[in-house]
Amino acid sequence: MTTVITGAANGLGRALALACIERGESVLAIDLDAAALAEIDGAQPLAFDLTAPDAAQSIIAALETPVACIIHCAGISGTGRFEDIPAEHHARIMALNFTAPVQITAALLAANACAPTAKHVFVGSLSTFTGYPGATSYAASKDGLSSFTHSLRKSLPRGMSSHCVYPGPLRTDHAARYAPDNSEATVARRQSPEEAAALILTAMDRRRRAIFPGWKTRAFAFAGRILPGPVGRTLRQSLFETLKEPKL
Amino acid sequence: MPSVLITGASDGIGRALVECYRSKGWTVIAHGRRQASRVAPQLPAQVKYVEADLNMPTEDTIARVAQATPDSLDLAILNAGMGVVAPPERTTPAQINDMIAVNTTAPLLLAQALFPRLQAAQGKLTFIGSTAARGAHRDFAVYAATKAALSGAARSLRLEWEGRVPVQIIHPGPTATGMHDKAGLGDIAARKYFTAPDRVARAIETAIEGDKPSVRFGPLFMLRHAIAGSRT
Repeated sequence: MTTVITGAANGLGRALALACIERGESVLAIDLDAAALAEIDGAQPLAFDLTAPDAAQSIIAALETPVACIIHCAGISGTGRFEDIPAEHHARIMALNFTAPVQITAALLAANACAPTAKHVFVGSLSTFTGYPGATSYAASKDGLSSFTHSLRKSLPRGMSSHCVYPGPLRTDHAARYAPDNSEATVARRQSPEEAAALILTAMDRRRRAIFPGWKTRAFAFAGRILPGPVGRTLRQSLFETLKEPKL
Repeated sequence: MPSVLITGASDGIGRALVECYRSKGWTVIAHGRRQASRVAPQLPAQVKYVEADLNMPTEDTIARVAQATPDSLDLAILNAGMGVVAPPERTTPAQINDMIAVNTTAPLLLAQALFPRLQAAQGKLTFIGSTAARGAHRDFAVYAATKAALSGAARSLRLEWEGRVPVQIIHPGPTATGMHDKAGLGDIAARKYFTAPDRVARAIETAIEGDKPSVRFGPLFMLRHAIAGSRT
């Protein structure tokens, strides 16, 4: 049985891959970055672009055993004023974050490539509960995944499950690349990817449908739900208004 | 006269919206996928038609639609959409690509391309979502996800464009349009109760005049219009 992890070369994906290897799972680690994949000891590396038209078939071809679990962790963002981010970058965010996981899920199911108890895990974002001014297309892609997770549950064969993870900002290259504020104090407050990965795997073992790594993310999601107005305005001030040049 | 762009106007809600705004005397720019020669006879006179396939939302396609509108645009109703009724494993890769492109990526890119024109007129942007954007939907998981994504985009973009261009999303429920035939929805009994497109279009027009950022036409709306429809 195989654990498939996309975006495994860095950040949360890498932390998840290492934790799964530690647990003795056989991991198929996918990323664009072949060199970084090669550094993950014990994983079967597969380097290619998940937005390629034959991406799903490449994964199926690389599988030696059925998929016990697939974690769709690959994702990019783009922060800045919506109108200043190049159109092709908006399109790329949609293609990698949203289209690729949906295509891969549909193809794995159609090809019967999953074990009867397979877990389909999507990595969403807290922005589903709060909005994300300054990363509109990223927020859109993650809301699509969250919705897909819930709908997918209804059509999956009995035994399989689908889960959506809602992480907050992590101490990763991803956050460093897109966050408006990378001061030492802010970075130190972020959750480490290793801690998030451990919490996510525990929640998956318990078959939690919505996975919030840590109480802070849960509290933030709750606040966004009950006070959408004030939370939206706060994010506009703290994220959007501090952004200068687009970060792609 | 104020001007409006309506995408997906060759059929269904979009075409009914064209009638609505044309009868109010607005300058209407209608977008559709069908060939101009086939659609033109069905559209009211003086409506400008722009043909573009939004399932490949390339720079050229988006620019063509945007450039068909005046430099100062009062309203954009991004209505074009498509759906397929099938669980994910029976949805083809091409269908998945098309749904995401037409329902999510294209409206995002159009919003971006239209921004300067809308800003010049102090105009408004209205996305047409779907009541399916909420909840879980076994047989149209991908469609629902594309509309949830659009809904998320509207929420964040509204915060970004606050004070510049108001952003609104309107979620119609099941409407008696050609979309369901194309989507492969069978002849189920519930279709009798689907709201007529001209009723939905008028409700959209009213919602656009109001300033609610998000409007849902839920079951009560459907019921009210089903009763009103059966009386006429």
